[in-house]
Amino acid sequence: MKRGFKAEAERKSIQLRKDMNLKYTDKLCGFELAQFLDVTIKTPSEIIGLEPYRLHNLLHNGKSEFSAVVLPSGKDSFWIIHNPTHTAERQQSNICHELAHIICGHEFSSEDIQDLPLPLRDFNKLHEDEAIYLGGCLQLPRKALSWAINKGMSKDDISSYYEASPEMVRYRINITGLNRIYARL
Amino acid sequence: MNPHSKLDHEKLSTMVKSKRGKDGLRKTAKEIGDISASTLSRIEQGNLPDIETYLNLCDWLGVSTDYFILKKKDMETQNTSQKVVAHLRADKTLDPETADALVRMITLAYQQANPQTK
Repeated sequence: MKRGFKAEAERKSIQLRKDMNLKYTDKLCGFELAQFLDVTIKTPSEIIGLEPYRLHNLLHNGKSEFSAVVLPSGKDSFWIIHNPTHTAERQQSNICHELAHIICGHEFSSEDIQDLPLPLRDFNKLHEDEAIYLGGCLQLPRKALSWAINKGMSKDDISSYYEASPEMVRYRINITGLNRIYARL
Repeated sequence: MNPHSKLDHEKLSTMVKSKRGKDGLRKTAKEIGDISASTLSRIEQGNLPDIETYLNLCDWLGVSTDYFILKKKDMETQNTSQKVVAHLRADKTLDPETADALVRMITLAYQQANPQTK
């Protein structure tokens, strides 16, 4: 990742909370953030014309394979189609990840993509890493995590307060280095 | 037909099987029209349909007749819908039925999200 990206990601997640009239320690709901950024959230059953057997696949047999997809809508907005059958925590993480791509301004590319009427994001490892990091910050900023730990919250408490999966909590505690400061965790 | 094109019969048979689901061969054959249950079964096993049957199948599946045509470029690189799925936030090894459902959903959603481009 670019030098300074992580610090900037942390700053962005605090700034967005401020812009949404939230305290830095507050939970940031991915769906509300999407609304704030004028990003439309849809589920597969809202896609007109999608055949029932395909819908069934996405929400049942294929459910572990489909998390979320971003599409451009008009010149400067986006749709996110997400899987509503995932747990609430996973949905938050899916939405925040896709919003992170949008916030970072990751470009869509149409190279080598046939059969589709639209450009889709190329698999770009750097972009994925950035979105993973920023997505995690959006859910659990370091400052908020530090506050929660100081308050005596356990990992489970943090998980339920911020609607973040236990894996996300663990990942953020480790990646921010807070695990070294708070040995009890 | 372009001598460098082939029919992706695996994709065709997968989609047909997927759409048929639990329905019987005879019932589905009737739905498709002008096809016997045994021909349908052969197609699901990967056999190539004749042209008329192919057109009826594309109609029934709701796809254009181009959908299963593999151009030379496609044959050299990964299957298009699998490549598309690699660009989505999903697991890397994608089931062909899910890949198909995703491509269809994205195509329709794009039209819905951008009605002025129809």
